[in-house]
Amino acid sequence: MNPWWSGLLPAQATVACGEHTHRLRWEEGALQALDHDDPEAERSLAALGGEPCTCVEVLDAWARHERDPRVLVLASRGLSDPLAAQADWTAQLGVPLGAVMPTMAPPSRMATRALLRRPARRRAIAALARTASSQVINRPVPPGRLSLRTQAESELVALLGLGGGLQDRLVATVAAACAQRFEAPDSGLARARPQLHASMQGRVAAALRSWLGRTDLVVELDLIEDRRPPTLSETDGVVRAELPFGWLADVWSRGLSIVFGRFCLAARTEDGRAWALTTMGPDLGPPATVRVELPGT
Amino acid sequence: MWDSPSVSDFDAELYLRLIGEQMLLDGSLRDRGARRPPIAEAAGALVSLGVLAGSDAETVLEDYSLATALRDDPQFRRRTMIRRQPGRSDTKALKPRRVVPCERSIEQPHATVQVRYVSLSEDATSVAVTWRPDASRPWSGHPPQATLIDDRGTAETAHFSGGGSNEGMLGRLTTVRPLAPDTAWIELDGTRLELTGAAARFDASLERLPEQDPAHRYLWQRVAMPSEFHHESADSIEPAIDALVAAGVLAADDPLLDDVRAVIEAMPQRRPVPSVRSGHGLDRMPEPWRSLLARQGRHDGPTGSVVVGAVAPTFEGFSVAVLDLKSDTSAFQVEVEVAPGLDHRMPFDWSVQPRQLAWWARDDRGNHFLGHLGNWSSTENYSHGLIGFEPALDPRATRLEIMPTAETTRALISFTLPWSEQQAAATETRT
Repeated sequence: MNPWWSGLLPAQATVACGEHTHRLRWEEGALQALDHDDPEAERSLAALGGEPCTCVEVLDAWARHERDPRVLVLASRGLSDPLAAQADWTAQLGVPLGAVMPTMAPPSRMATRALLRRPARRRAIAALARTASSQVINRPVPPGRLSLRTQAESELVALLGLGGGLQDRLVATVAAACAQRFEAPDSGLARARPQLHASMQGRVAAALRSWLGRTDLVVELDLIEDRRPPTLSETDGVVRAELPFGWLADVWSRGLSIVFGRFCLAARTEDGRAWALTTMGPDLGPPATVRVELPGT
Repeated sequence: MWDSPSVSDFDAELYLRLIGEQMLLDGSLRDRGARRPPIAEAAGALVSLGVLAGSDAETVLEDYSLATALRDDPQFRRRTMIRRQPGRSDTKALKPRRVVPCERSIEQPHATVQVRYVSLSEDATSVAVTWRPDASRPWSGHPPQATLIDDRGTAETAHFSGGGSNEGMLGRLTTVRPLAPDTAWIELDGTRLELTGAAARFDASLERLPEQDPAHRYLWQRVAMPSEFHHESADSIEPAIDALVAAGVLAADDPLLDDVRAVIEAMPQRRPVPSVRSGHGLDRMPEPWRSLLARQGRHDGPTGSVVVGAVAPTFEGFSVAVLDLKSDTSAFQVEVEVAPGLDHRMPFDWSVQPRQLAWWARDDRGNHFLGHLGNWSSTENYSHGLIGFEPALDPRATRLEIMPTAETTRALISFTLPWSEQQAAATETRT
């Protein structure tokens, strides 16, 4: 079985991390902070009152939201629905939306990080850990105690502000995780189902409207089980799409919704390179298979 | 438009979310500005009818509010307001009070203070004033304050609350601690006010509203509580109607819908006042709307005021006091206190169930009047301000009933209009 990220190219963005510009790279389903080879040590340092590290905070936020249906609610529905993403969305990670936050840390704290080489940083962490047990550490003053919901909102906005295609990879990650939930339903799926259904219907509608050039097209979506054949039909001007939730991960996230002017209902691969796409033409006639092959790496 | 799910498998949360999806794809919120969007109208209807839990609706609204901001408001400067309804707590009922009319003008070094009445209770002492700064001298901009003394010699500083402009501010001077409720006089910055007047005699009671289809009741309540900040367009209620129809609690061809739409179309905020006698005629409209609309545009109201000081019994968690009424040729306004605090429908306000009352009034000639919040200050537990009623009072009316109306109950606070007694006395004298 091919991993869910088959066919998704790596994506990379930069963020302001302290006084540096650092790289975040998504590849083969995972996000990595390329300029930090010991994120765990950074976490410990920050937890003990050291300067927070934006790269690691983004990694942690990503991990907290990689199964969060709210990502699908907030993110773009496609090219016709761009977010007004801004770099400072990421800079404001951990700050209530709309609050003013300095974009750079105070010079004294920046210097501390710059001067600490890796072994020295480890010694500092150990020292901080010893100190923490006996006295209060001089933490940077937080902008306000955030509720869990506010913190989650701030994290989501920061993640959606990442450039370089990372927003799309986050959506692909969440779509794949949620598709697995449909295959093996958990107790929370029923609760999340309206979110998942609506956010997929929005994407299906955006794709169909763009494909057919009908901006006021009425679209209905029936979420079907994987084993049923996907299809499109039109009755009285209403296009009904019968698709499994997996369509979002398999097709939409890979940018395969429209291929050669045809709407893609399903995408299958045996080896991650050769793909069989089940497609329909604008006349919504019988499905036909389109085969594509990715270049070798 | 999206097609609604069939009634049998109606999923209210999905229904709302699909409205949100449509908003995102159409970019329809960009043109709405601060007005309440269809998703909030539909949410309010579904929650009120018990089809969807308020907390679930609020979660959906928060999702699409943020989604909208991510597209159109990257600095998050216009985030919408979605007040989560607090759990219902016991209302702290307003206390009965002694309210004494006291028309008096006091010249101060920098202002003229026009006293309207004095209110005394176990909890608070306040003097209702119109404060006019001396136009020939610069005003510091600081709100006025005064020292009040009762006949026991107790002195308290009173602070102003109210609103207005540099030309005059309407409000109240309220002490931190109460003065003696039975004091014979009060001194305001050295000027003695004899408390010898008498407020209008009033009756205060409660009345259960007639049984009504819940969907009908919701729609009429919604029409009676329009936004104070935006003109309601004729189609503003359609998302609520669509939601109730989709939920199966209202028939799409319910004859009531014609009435509701006709009333919205004819409401006075859609000036110039359209002729309600054409099309869906005035005579076919249900009461109280028929009599409300019949007097729209009249400018024959009596000019005068009456101090009331009535506190109604608590109903559906609301405690209401009616303090005074001022009438002019085109409208009238009533000063009220309400506990707990009422919500304004603010710009960018998507709240599902704002805590509000419909402010109706009726006179002894069968006329009805509808009020809206004017100058208003509110906290969680208490609010105070003016309710502006239209149309103008009927000059022939002799008695008025103020009817703050909740979902199933309303308070009735009735009193005689003094100018009718004065007219009667004048007539008697002439004969």
